[in-house]
Amino acid sequence: MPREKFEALTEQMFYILLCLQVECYGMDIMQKIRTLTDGRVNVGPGTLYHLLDDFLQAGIIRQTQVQGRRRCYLLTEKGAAVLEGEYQRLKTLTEDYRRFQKGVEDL
Amino acid sequence: MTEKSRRKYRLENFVFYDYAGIQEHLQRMASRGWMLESITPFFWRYRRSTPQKVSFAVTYFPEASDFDPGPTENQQLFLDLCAQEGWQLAAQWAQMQILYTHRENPLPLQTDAGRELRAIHAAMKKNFLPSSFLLLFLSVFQLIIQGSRVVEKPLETLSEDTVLFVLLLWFIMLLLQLLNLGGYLRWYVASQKSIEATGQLAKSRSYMCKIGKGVLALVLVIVPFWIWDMAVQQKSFLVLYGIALSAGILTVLFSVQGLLKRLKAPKEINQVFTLAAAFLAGIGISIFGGSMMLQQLSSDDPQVLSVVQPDGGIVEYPIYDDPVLLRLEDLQDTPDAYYSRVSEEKTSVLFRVAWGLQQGMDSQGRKLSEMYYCISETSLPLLRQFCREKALDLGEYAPESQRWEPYSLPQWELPSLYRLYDGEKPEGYRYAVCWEDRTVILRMESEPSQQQLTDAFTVLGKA
Repeated sequence: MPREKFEALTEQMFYILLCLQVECYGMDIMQKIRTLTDGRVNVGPGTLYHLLDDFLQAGIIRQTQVQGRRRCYLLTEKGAAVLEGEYQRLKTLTEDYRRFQKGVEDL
Repeated sequence: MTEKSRRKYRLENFVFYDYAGIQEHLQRMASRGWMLESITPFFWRYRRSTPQKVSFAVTYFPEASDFDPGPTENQQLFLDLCAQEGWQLAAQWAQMQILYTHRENPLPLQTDAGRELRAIHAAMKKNFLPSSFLLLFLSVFQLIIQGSRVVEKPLETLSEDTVLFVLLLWFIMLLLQLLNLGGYLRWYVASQKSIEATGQLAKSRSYMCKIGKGVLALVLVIVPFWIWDMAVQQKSFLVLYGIALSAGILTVLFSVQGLLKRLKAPKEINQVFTLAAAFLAGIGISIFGGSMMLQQLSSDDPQVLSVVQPDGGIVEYPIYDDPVLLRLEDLQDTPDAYYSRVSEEKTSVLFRVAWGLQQGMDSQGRKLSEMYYCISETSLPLLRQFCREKALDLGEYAPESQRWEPYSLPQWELPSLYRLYDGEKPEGYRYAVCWEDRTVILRMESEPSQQQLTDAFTVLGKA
């Protein structure tokens, strides 16, 4: 069954939303993610543009400033809920992992 | 170095979604010292540069259009993001954006294959798929129209090379569109599966490019042959008119589109004016071509026999003088009369059909005599039986009681003679002789003698 859109975020979506908890220029997002993940996660410019467009369409982020061709974005309440939902999902996965690992070690 | 040697124009044959094939090709061209400069409606233009290692990336921006006066605001935003990572726009082909960078190990433009596939599919839905479906529909429509003509009158239709070439070209078009659409559907489904499994898009098939080149080569062989063949039949003006019509419409279309882009006209205005200009050009060229043909036809106006009627009115009888293969005068003594001769001969690689009709009338326009013949011939052994059957076919409106029966005449030296019967009685004076590769039908106004039949079929059997 196909996943509901943004029900589970990809790694790149997750980091973009994470960065946009603070108002941020689109152009700076790529560098921020690179720094945040020590270069482990890279978002290509094409992908970034399309994902920002998808998030805007879905009301997950909003545009806050337009300076010439530079645009600033910020997470909306809906976006914050999506990000929190993803965090909870990942946390559940991690907790399940720990619980299962503990069970294995106790055997 | 001359301006010419600094530019190269190539007819590239990539399918729209073959991003990987295009990237590899452009990187190879750059390593040979040819950088892509722009993509025109027919050619890709390259400029001379020093051979260099350049990375190319092909991506799709569904919002873009060939009618845009320049990059849209969103497109510029997208290009700015790309520029930040060192990617520069090399050329645009409708929604396709081709970028390049000199950086070593550059960050790829697309790092999410799923999102990339959605962008490609959106671009395909906007451009490639509607035009492919339209061409597919047109191919089927044309094949049905031409096919029904073939079914209705097979020999008359298939003895025209133009019909054969048109059928062949539309058939090629149909196959090409089926391959294009099938190829894309296959790649799209394969990419969906590949993204699930590996996170990567599937590779597009290189054979699509080869098939495209093969088809183009075939068309480039067929069209000159067609022109030559029509020239032999003194009808090359028809092909040249068709080519001029297509070239004229395309020239107007791309000129108006280019001019309005340079004038920075909005996309919608450009679309409306370009389509209107192409439509008007099509009508204009059609009217011009039609009037030229009418002029040619009117220059062949027949002589006219004018007969004054008892009430003082005048009736005009056209007297044609087409070249015929057999004349009444060759068979019998003919009274002084006005003879009108009409004929037509069509030859294709499959069949030859030649018919002639001669009518004689007196000075009052009364019919004195008439003779009609029709030769149907094929040089292909496989089609001989078919040719004979169709030549002797009486058509759907003939009564069922009518049939061809063997007709014996003493000391008949030609192949078997047939005569048309209606029930037990002969139906007029209609005769047929079937050679291996040729069937000849002869219709007379009065019963011919054996010598006249022999003379007529001897002439028509060799003509």
